[in-house]
Formats: sequence, structure tokens, C-alpha cells
Amino acid sequence: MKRWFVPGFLAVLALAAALRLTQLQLRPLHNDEAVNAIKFRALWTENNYKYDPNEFHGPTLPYFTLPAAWLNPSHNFNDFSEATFRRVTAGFGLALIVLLLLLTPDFGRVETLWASLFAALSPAMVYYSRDYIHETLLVFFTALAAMAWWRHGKSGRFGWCALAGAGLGLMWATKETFVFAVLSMALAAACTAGWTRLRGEPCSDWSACWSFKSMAAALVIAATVALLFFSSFLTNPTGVADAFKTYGPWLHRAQGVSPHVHPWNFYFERLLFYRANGGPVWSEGLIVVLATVGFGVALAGGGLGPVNVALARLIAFYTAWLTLIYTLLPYKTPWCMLGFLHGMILLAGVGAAGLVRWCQPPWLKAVMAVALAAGAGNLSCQAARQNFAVDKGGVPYCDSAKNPYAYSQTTPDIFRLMRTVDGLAQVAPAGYGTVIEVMAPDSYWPLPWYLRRFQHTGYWDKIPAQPPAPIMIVSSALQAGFDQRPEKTHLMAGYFELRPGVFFELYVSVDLWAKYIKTLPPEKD
Amino acid sequence: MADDAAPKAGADLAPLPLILPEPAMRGTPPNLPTNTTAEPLSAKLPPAFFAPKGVTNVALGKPVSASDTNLISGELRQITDGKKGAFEENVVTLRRGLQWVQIDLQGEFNLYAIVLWHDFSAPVVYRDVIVQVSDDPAFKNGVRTLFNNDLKNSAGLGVGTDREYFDNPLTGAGKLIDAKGIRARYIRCYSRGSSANALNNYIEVEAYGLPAS
Repeated sequence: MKRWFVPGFLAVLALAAALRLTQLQLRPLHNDEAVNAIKFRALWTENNYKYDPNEFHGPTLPYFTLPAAWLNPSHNFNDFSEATFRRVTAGFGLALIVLLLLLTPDFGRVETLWASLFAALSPAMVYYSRDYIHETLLVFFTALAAMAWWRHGKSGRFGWCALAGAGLGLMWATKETFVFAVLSMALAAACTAGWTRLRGEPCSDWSACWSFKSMAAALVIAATVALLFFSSFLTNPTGVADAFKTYGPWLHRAQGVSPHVHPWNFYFERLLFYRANGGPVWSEGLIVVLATVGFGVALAGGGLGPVNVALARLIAFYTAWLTLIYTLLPYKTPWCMLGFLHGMILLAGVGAAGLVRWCQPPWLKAVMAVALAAGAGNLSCQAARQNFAVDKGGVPYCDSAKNPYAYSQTTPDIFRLMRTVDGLAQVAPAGYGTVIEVMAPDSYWPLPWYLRRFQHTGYWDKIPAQPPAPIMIVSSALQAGFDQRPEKTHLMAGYFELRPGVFFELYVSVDLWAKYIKTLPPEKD
Repeated sequence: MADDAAPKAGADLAPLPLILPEPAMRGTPPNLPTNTTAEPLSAKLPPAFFAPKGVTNVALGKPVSASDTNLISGELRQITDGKKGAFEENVVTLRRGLQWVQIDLQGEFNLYAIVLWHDFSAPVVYRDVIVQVSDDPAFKNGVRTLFNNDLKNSAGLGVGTDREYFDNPLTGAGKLIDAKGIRARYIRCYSRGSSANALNNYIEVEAYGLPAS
């Protein structure tokens, strides 16, 4: 196995890269992605990032976007594309797989290969690696902290302790929900120690993890790293207090009414069997079933082969606790599953390697390995279909409600809207200085991203009293009817579906529209 | 000005004596077209339209001509025969592309409302619907546009600022165009296919007015 490990791992990485880094511009920016992109603009153009404790999560995402922006051929923010931003999370999605190498000495090469394969091909992992939100970074920093802490526990080396502390600090500075991962880690450590003692098994060799000195050092490093980010690298001292204040609004929000309150089985439905709106059946059941096998073996403690029993149990208990916490929380968005799905993927690696190892004679081993590889192949097909294919109606699955992970996703109609609005700017006397008014009682995102080139764009939650602008993008819910006013200065140039069931109307002054239509190719009968 | 004859507040007005055909469909229709500026389809009837007392359908039984002399189905006279049911035998079909039908009212009238029924057996949006009136049968002089939803000026008759609309099978109400008492003899209705296909279908055109004094 030794000589196959490196090429095997590289092949998995190549697969993962192909699924994560290609055609990143295919899907329009989601509401949250656009918010993150516009937040980055202040950092990029004015070196002015201030952590907001009320919204938008932590500062790591904008700061880790800087390298992607530097590497972009143009450094003009308006020239950045969806791909510029998504390369950041795609990079972290790939790094999450590489991170598995930290565990290999205690996890086994075969287990590492299976786990890396499932991480590379898991449709949820692929889809959200291509999504410019905080979740993939949180999962990466969580894995970094946990794996480095494990290595410190085994070796007692300070370097691993420092890396674990840095990972913890970065978790904190990424997303408020890091507390659930930390709580699950603590509970997993306690459960592992308790379970091992209950079974009368010898104590494991991860004693350095319990050292008060190590914990204190890691916490100091974590706090230093996190507060550096929260304070915008010491330029915004209030960010330090805001890092703690944020839990007030978030706790308040968690108790309130939200469109994101879903039943307990929300995540399991998506992972095990999802079929909506006449679409195909999606399932990552293979990972869940293999994780269950891995969980059972970890608790039993036998048949684990090269896997360190304590490590397997830590992963098993961590995954179980985190799954339970997210299942019980009424507030659910599908990307939140990545944290416990990553745990499941590690356990699935243990389960898959175990199933092959236990099979006898050798031909049965081969049959099992081929069957599992075929299952992994099915995962890759699902991932490819979710991100690159279109349904029978020509709608890309990456935007479609048929996709379990496309949640409140912006529809491709935004591209049609922007083609028209950009075309209008080409003929308008003021060009991109033309005034655009956006009116919507609810969220109008991601329009600010797509209108970023326009210098005079205003946003209202109702119809303003001022005279109509040359271009107006108005929520249909407002029933604006600018075209039905007696002065007949504007016409309604079309409906555009921003998100499923959320329609906007484009109003254009008749003069501007008359100029615009002259630039259009003649219509065919 | 023809608009002088438009009904004003306080004038002796009454609801238009419009008799609607039976709706062609009940319930929620499937697969509505989305690439349109039409208001969402509604099963609610539009409010009554008021016109001067005594107006009648002055287009009933009047001669009809068309840009297409080789009809795919039906006969042009059916467009003013008063039969408005959404049945296949009532549908007059003109070929693809921009086509028009023209009604000669055989005299000048003050028109208050023109009502159009394309084929409304399904929720369909007809494209580039333009309604003009004139005293010139060739529509070269004195042409006035009452309705135009040709947003891209594909017909070359000016940019339309009116919205598209569904030929509504849930109500059978047709498209009522406020003619504001305009004085004219000829009515011309354009269309360029529909969201369903490239053909142009008509069931009925009515014009409510009074003889011009």
C-alpha cells in the first residue's frame, strides 16, 4: 500500500480539484455570497474592514480572500468575478483533504485514502466548496485545530500545540457557530475517556492533550490570533469587544421567528434521500452507512487495523455530538451540515477500510473494494450533475430547487437582467453613472454585487417619493406600476426571478429604452 | 380632437354592454410562460368599464380584411360574427410573423372600447399586439395608436409602452382597450405569434361606440 499511497492521494486531489475549481462562474452569486463579496470591497479598495457583531460572521473570509484578489489578473474590484471569490473556498475545500495527511500516522493509509476520496466526491462538500461563504473555512480550521491538537497529544511538541491554538483562534474568527464544534470536541474527549475507562481498556497515549500548560498556551495563542482578526489587525480596537458582544444578537436571533427554522430531519433528508419538484434522487447514504459502520467499530475498539482506537472514538463521539446539536437546533441551513458531515466522512474512511479488510478470501475483498469504489463513483456523478448539468427543462441543477444544496439560490435570470441593464448603460448618456433605483420590501441581494459598476445606485424598502430614475428594479410585491402612470415616462421591460418565487420588474424610461432597442439584433419570427 | 368625445366625470355613463364568453379553463393552469411582461394570470374579472349609454358593438358583422390572404384556418368574417366561445371552429389562424386584421366599420364612429379575443383556450401571451385606428383604409394617414406592447419596436410602429397580457382562459374576458371616444372608421390589430407558437389566432374583435355626429 505504501507505494500506492502517494499516487492514489494525488489522484484523489486531482479529482477534487476538477470538481471544485472548474466553471466557478456558472452559478450566480447567492444572497450570502454577494454580501460577503461586497463586504470584501471595503477591505480591498479602502483597506477598511470592520467586524460587525450583528451580521455577516467573522473576518477570516475577507482576509483570506486577499490572496485570491492579488492573484486575479485585474486588481480592479469591478473586474472580479464569481470565480475570483469562489476560488477561496474551493482552495480551503482542497486543503481540507490535504489536512488528512496530519492524521495518517494514526489513521492508516488505506483509511486516509478512502476518507480523502469521500471528502473529494461528497456532493455537499463539493457544492459548498464552490460557495463563497464561511462554512468551508470553519470546517477546515476546526479540522486543523483538532488534528494538530491530536498530534500535540501524541508528540508533546509545542509546535502542534501552537498550530492547534491558531486553528482554534481562526475557528472563532470565522463563524459564531464554532462554539458547537468546540463543545462537541470537549464532549468527545470526555466521552472517549469515559468509554475507554468503562470498558476497562488501557489509557491511551494522548496524555499531553490534558496538560494544563498546553491548554493554556493554546488558548492564549487562539485568543491572540482571533483578536488580531477581530480588531482588523489592531486598527479597530472595538472589534475585540464586538467578538464577545456578537453572541447577544445571535442568541436573540436563534430564539426568534426565522424562515430557516426546519424540522429535525432537515439534514438527514438531504443526506439520505432527497427528491424534490420531480427531480432525480440524490443521496450521500453511502457515506452515512459507512460512517455508521466506522462509528460502531470505533466504539467496539476491535478490528480497527492501523487506526488508533482513541482517535477513532474521538472522531466518532465528536461527530455524534455535533450531529445531535445541529439536529436539535431549530435554525437550519443546509451548509451547516458540513461540520458533522466531515466527521462522518472520516468515520466512513474507517468503515470502508474495515469492510475491505474483514472480507475473506481475497476475491471477496476485491469485490467489496470495487463495490465501494462504484459507490464513490456514484457520488462523483451526483456532484458533477449538481454543479455542471442541466435538467430536462434546461435549468442548471446548481440553481435548481431540485438540488438539495441549492438553498434560496439566485436564479440564472439575474444574468438576463444584467445583460439588459448593462446594455442600457452602454447607450445611456451617463453610462455607468446612470441612476438606478432598487426597491424591495425584503432582501434585494445579490443585486448590489451585480450592480457594482454603477456609481449611483440607491436602495429603498418602499417606493420613494422622488421622481423615478431612468432605470428602476422593483420588487413585484410593491406593485409599482410605473408604466401605468398617466405621464407614461417609463415602460416595464420585463419580470426577473431573483430567487424562486421572488420576482422583480425592470422599469426603464421610454427614451432610454428606445435607444437601447436599436442596439438589439432584429427579432426572428 | 377626437378625445373631446371621451366620457367625463358626470357624463351619462353605463357599464359597457359586453357579454363575455364562457371561461375556457378552471383551476390553476400549468406551464405559464415566464418571458413576458404580462401581469400574473388571475381568475378575477376586471372591473366594469363605463362608456356613454347607448354604445353598441359597431364591429358586429362588419367586413374584415387581413395582411394574410392565405389563412391557415377559419374565415375572416368570423372575427366579427359575435361567436366568442373558445372553440376550435371559432378560431381564425393567420400565418407566422407580423400579421394584421382590419375591420371596416363602414362609417365613422366615436369609439369607447375595443375588445380583443385571440385564442384563449389556453393561457397564452400574444406578442407585439398593436391596435390602431384610422380613417384611411391603407393606414398611411391619420393613424392613431390605442395600444402597443411591442417593447422592442419589432413591428417598426414605435416602441410599445403597454404591457403584454394573458389571453385569459380563466375569465374569457378578452383584452379591453380604452379608446377614449376616438373618432375613426377603420380598426387594425397587429400581432406576431404568441408564447405558444408563431401563428396568429383571432376569435373575435368588438368595438363599442356611437355614430359620429
